[in-house]
Amino acid sequence: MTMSGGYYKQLTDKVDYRILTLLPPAVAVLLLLPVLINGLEYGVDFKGGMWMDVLTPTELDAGKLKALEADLQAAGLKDVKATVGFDIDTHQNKLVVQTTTVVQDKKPVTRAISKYAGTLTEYDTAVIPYSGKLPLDFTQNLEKRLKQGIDVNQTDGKLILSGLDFNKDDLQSAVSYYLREEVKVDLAKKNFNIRSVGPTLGKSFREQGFKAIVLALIFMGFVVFVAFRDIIPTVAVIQAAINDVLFAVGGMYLLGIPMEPASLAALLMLIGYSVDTDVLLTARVLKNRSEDFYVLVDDAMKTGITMTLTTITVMTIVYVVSTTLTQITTLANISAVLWMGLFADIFTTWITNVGVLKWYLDNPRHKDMWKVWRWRR
Amino acid sequence: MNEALKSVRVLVLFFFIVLSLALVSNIIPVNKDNGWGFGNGLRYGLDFAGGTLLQLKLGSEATPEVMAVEKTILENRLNSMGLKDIPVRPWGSQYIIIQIADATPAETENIENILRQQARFEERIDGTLAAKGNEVTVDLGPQGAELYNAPGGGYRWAVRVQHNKEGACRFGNAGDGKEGRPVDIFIDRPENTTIVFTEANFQLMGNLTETQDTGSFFFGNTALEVLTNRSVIPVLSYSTNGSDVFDRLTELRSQGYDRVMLAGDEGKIPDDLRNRLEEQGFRTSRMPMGNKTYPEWIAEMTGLKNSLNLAFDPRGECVYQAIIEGTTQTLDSARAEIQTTQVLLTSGNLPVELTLESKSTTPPTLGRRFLMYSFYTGLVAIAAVATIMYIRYRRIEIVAPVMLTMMSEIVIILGMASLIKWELDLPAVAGIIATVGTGVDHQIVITDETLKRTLKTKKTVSIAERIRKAFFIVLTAGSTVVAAMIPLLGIGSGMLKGFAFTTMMGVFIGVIITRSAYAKIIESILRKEE
Repeated sequence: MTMSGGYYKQLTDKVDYRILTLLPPAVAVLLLLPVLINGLEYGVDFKGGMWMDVLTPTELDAGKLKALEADLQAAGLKDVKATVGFDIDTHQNKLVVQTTTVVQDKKPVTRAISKYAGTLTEYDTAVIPYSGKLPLDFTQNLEKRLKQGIDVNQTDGKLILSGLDFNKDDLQSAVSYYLREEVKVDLAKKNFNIRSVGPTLGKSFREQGFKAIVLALIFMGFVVFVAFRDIIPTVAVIQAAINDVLFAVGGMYLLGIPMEPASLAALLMLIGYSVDTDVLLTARVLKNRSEDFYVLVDDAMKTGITMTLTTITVMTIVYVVSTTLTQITTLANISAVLWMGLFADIFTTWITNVGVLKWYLDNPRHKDMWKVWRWRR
Repeated sequence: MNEALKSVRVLVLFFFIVLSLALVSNIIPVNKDNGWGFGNGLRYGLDFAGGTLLQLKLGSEATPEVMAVEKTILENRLNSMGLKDIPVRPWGSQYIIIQIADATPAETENIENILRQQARFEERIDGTLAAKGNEVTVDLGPQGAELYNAPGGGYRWAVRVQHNKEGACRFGNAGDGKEGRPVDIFIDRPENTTIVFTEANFQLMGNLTETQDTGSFFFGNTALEVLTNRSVIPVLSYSTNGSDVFDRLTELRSQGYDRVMLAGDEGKIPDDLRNRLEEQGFRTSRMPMGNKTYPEWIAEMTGLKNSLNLAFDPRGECVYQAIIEGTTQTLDSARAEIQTTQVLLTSGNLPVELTLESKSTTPPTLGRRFLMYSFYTGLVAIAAVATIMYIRYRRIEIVAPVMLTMMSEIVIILGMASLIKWELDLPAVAGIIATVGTGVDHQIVITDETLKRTLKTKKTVSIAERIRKAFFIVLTAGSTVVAAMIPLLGIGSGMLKGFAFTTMMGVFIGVIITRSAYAKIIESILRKEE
């Protein structure tokens, strides 16, 4: 970056700065259009419904997924969506089924899924051939040793244990110890998980989330106004936050990231990051009026871009790690949302916010007109 | 550097780092059950610890008073089913959250069933049914209860009870001529059940009645009379061979009594009897005395919750309104009595209906893996920040304090979370990422502002002045984030509360402790150079 003339001067020598200023918000609104037309996709927490995942060794192709969707629809589920992925830990296929319906009796649903994915086990279940009498306090001792609640049933010479989380070796050693004889444990790990959220709860989550973002913007606007005591710089800061959020929401739509608690948290985090650069710019420019505007902007930008690039780099790394190594979709989605928002922030801050400040300083008339409330030291 | 180490701000930072490490590692024992170890001092939410989360929805919005009653009823019901320490948390004005950490699959199902069904509430007078749960209503508002100074000292409290027509008239008939007799209140009184005692206990029950210090439910009756007459539960005595009991039970079964409660452990009443009964198709359970007193034991077996003196003779007329009252020594205990009574009277008929809205289960291994992975991802992110900072500033003495500040921010946030027993869940981790990320932003601002000598004009500005300018930016940005988080605390959703709270706490810690210490360190490094 050169100090001579400054990037912003060079830029505005070619294009009228007022047009330049309006560009980033225009892009943000353009990106938001498909969202406004088609609506945003909500995760299960926000729209209500059931979310099931099944680990299975069976290969499921598109045809089978379609057939499964049809079967589930026949069982009374609405908006069924079945997708298949790969689980890196178990090296099995991970079938995910989403629906907006919540049913109390899950039997027909599980029956339909197991037709395609094999036996579903909702809890870790161990079968041990054993026909003797169980020692006193067997269950209590086992629960204490394995630090979890365990159901113990004995039928037809078999001991059946079920719990949330068994480790085969631990279980084998513990059961052998308490039964005082070496036993063979046959363990079926949990391969089926189901989550359900009532539609009204989903709706109230959604409304609260939306309310949270709007209120957050209003409250932060107030604080920025108190700090700079002028309405135009405040509006410039807020527009950056709003446009960053809009840009990220538009990006979410394009990438197919659903609106869920994690992505909502990311949007709120984005507000925090967005404000940092704008406050930096505004403070440097407005608190240093003896210096040249372009020099001040360039100087602030050097700091601001370092800030944003640092976070963007970190988000890139988090995204790559979460999509390839750890397979944590939540973190992948958070980092993708922040990435897009921060990318937008470069333009909303260093073009739009700068442009608004230039207009504000170039037009003393406006300055007086908008000076609604001011303290003097 | 020496100068920095002597500064108060840096000392405060080190104090908090040490304190937080001690808290997070449980060296200061915050979690009594855990030993030492990094992370043992923290509480983990469902996302990381695993377990089942149930969300219940109330049929309509409830006032805090009604919510408190609803919560206590649910807790009592779960406790009476032997499911202790299950947290029942009101959430906003219309939801209740129940978190089950380590229950067996069957227990989880049991809990769901308990939450779905209503408790069976009965008022009985000398064994005759007077009123049932859905016939009783209690006003939970200020009109429904009274509290005033008793003439002889202490406090007098009263709770108003309403019976509907059916209950009122049955009550009138049951209570005819029973002035001075008790009105027994049962919750989930065992139905179709026979209790089998050992011979010794059976004898004892026949003689046990009230003494000066025993409980108050006897009203001149023996324990045996309380069981058989007032609770309408047949009682048998078990002698060593048990064959007589068997015949009697078979006889009772023809009248519908197909459940047997064995009052004693395997030592008193052998499992052999239990197995034989089960084979014959009886449903059996055990209720050993344990270390309960006799009255407590009887109350547990019968579901008898309270026995109130019927202070008037209804003479067969319908009793629409009744008042339950008592006297206590202190105001607080009077308030507690009112609440207990309200809870008791409404437990058969929850003030607001509940439905199960959401259920999710996280397996513990999945949660733990998630936590580990987040931790490693965090380490990679910190390394990335260090690299970028080095590329930009090319100076280890700047990169090192930035790293120190970043890590100390994480440690102190975790330490404070452990101190106030804040549960760490996914939103909380998002909050930590948010603060630490903006923390780096602020350190870059402080560094650049401090490094900046002069611009075009040759005016020299002191380092202190430059840091003051940097702090204006840090403070404004920090306050903005806090302001943005305030509405989240107010909005009923717990989902965002954890995020907002951790972010706010992080910003406070950052601005007051870590970032100001960082400024001091950078200042002293640069002063040495100038």
